[in-house]
Parts: sequence; C-alpha cells; structure tokens
Amino acid sequence: MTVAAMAEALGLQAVTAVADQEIVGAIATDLISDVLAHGEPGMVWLTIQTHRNVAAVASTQELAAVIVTGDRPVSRELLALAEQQAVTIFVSEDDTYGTSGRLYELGVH
Amino acid sequence: MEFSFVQELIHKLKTFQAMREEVVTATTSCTLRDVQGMMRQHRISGVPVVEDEHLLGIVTIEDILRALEHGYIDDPVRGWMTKQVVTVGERWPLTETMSVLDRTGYGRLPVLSAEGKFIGLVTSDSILHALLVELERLLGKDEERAVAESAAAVPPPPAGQHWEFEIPAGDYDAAGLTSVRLKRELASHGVPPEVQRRVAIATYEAEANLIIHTTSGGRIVVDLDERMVRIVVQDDGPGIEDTEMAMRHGWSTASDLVRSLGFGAGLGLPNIRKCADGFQIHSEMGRGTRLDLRFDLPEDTAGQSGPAEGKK
Ligand SMILES: Nc1ncnc2c1ncn2[C@@H]1O[C@H](COP(=O)(O)OP(=O)(O)O)[C@@H](O)[C@H]1O
Ligand SMILES: [Mg+2]
Repeated sequence: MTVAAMAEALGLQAVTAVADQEIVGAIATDLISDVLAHGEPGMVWLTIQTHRNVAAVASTQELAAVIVTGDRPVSRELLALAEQQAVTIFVSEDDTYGTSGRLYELGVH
Repeated sequence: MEFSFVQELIHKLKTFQAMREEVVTATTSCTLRDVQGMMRQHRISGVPVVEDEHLLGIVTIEDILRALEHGYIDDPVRGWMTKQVVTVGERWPLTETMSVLDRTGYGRLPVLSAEGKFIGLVTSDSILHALLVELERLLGKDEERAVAESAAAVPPPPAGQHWEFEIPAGDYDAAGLTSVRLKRELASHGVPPEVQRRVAIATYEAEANLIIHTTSGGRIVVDLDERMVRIVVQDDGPGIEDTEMAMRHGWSTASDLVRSLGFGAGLGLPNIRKCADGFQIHSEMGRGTRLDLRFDLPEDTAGQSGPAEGKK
C-alpha cells in the first residue's frame, strides 16, 4: 500500500505536500524515544504530538508519513520544518485507536 | 617522504596494537602507600584502579605526593583516586590516541574495549615499541614491495570533516534540529544511509538530553574520517549520580512537562548505546557528563566522497 492510497482509503487530510511511497508498516505512540527506538524507514507514525520535534523524528527515521490523530491542530512550526525536510503529514478525524484499526484492516501490519 | 611513510604506518595501526596488556593495577581498598610501593617497584608513575575489569579511577605520582604532604598516605585509594579518567578505545586509530596523549599531556591512557572494559594502557613507550615492531616486520620483506603495499593499503586520508553544535538548555522545541542537520552533512560526504540513520538517532537522543537535563546546555562535536564518525557530547552539569542506573531502560528523572511532550521515557541512553559501535559515558556530579560515540564506516566507504543517494 502506498501513502497516497492510504490517505484516500482513510479519508485523511494532507497538511503538507504528499511524497508518495510504499508503506512498510506503522507505529502508534506518543513517545519520541519510542519512535527513535522502534521506528523504521518507510513506516507511518500515528501520534497526538504536534510540536516541531515530530518532523525532526520523521526525518531522522525516514518515515513514510505522520498521521496526527484526533483532529488536532498542527503547529505552524511543525509545518515549516516538515516542508523543509520533505516530511508528509496528515490529520485524521478519528483518534489513534480508530485510525490504527482501519489502517490495520487495509493490510498495513 | 620518509615522514609520510611513518605517518601511514601510524594511521594503519589500531590502538590495541600499541598497548601494554600486562599492567600493574590497584583496587579501591589498596592504600595509597601500597600504590606508592607499586610505583617504586615497577618504576611507573601512574596506576589504574580496576575492579571486575572495570576502570574506576587512576592514581598518579601527583596524588601520592599530595597524600604524603597532607598525611593521608595510609587511606584507601577509594577516596583519593582521580575518577574522571580520559580513556581511549581499543579500535581507535593510533593517530587519534596519539593526539589525545599530546593534547592532554598525560603520560598514559587507559584503553577500554568496545564493551567498556579495561584492557590495557598506552604510553609513548608502548607506541614507540609497536612502531618499531611494525617497521621491522615491513623491512623484513622486500623493502620496496613493503613500502608499496603499505601505501596501497592506506588510501590517502581525505581532509577530515569537523562539526561543532552548541545546544542550549530548555529549548524543547529545537530537539532534533541538530540531528537533522548532521544527517544531511553526512549524506553529502558519502556516509552510507544506514550509518547516517544510526548517527542521527543517537544524536537526537543526546541532543534531547542536553536540552532536558543540563543546567546550561552543551556541545556536540563530530569528526568524520574515512573510517568512522566520532561524536563527543559534553555538558557542564549537573552530572549523573549513577550512570549505571541512568543506562537502564525506562529510568528517567524528566519532569511532567517534558513527558507530556513525548520525552523522558528513559529510553534515550540505552538507544544511543545500541546505535553506536562504540559507547562510553563518563559523568561526575557538579562537573558534567560526557559521551564518546563511535560509528564505524564499512570498509568500501574509504575514498568515496561524492554525495550519497538520497532517500528512496
Ligand atoms: N547530560 C545529562 N546530564 C544530566 N543527567 C542526564 C544527562 N543525560 C541523561 N541524564 C539522566 O539520565 C536519565 C536517563 O536518560 P535517558 O536514557 O536519555 O532517558 P530520558 O532522557 O528519557 O530521561 C535522565 O532522566 C537523566 O536523569
Ligand atoms: Mg533522554
């Protein structure tokens, strides 16, 4: 499954430019260190964090995309760094649990 | 010409090849007088304090003189040894170790294995000895061939790259910015993506620690040569009470605010150690904390200097 196909299927709202690529898996956590320890290149990260570090983590780990869940507003600082680092960010209306469940059903394990 | 041949020799040797393994050591319960005896008997001026293969400190002739002067020569070593010891890694190129000897002016440097165990000492004497042995070995062969071989085995070292980053304390929002920048720099100097990523992860966690846990921030100093990326992360306090505890998974002193931002899970230091090929932590309360990290480059990276492929 690709990033664009996932966004379409889940009805996600893109808040940055979308760099389409294959998704290799997903991680749902709000701990920065957890993503740094267990993230892998090509993963999608589901989180409620919306500060600038999110983009720095995504770039460090070469994640495919970040999904901010629960319809949370994304900070301007985060968007600026995401743009600069070519990090793709979506917002999901659904919370982390619901979004994860639907992503899992789409075959992203 | 002659000189560059010797330089190549030194560059090719690793620190463990130039260290002395049979070393006189003391334990924390020895008295300073015992150590003075060891120094006299073996004609040495410094004795490492080692227990269970772990380096706990060092006693030098200056410590002994001070003890004699102030009348505590019969005290155990424990309270008087120098605990903040400058060490070198067994796999460091000898050039690195020599520059530390030169910079610090110390007569001897303890050598630690990749696992952080004490395995020997380097001194200018032990280095000279290793060089002579190596020279003899090379000259034992057909001389010209030996020189050619040695030159071929060592690609001319490209000018090393050096970066320094100042990390102010308290600026949570800036965490990760240095790691992102460093990653880009490494990419543009041909460091393979797999190594870039490990360096960036470790730097991110180190950066976060400087921001979250220090009183006045710290520095991240990065050196890249054709063999490795070396990173020193240093701050001036408050220091870590018990580094063994701090290295444990999930152990953290972070505040609720810091935790709410997604930091302070106590996973940072263990992950830094996991990412690096060489890891050392030294900390002293009131003085500060220092991490020494090493990331080896794969053999075939040598000489490659063009930009690496971008991410897929
Ligand atoms: N540079 C430092 N100065 C002082 N204390 C530190 C430093 N780095 C780490 N520590 C201490 O070690 C603990 C564990 O660090 P770490 O594994 O990175 O987890 P975390 O930062 O999530 O707490 C920290 O909570 C802190 O008490
Ligand atoms: Mg930390």
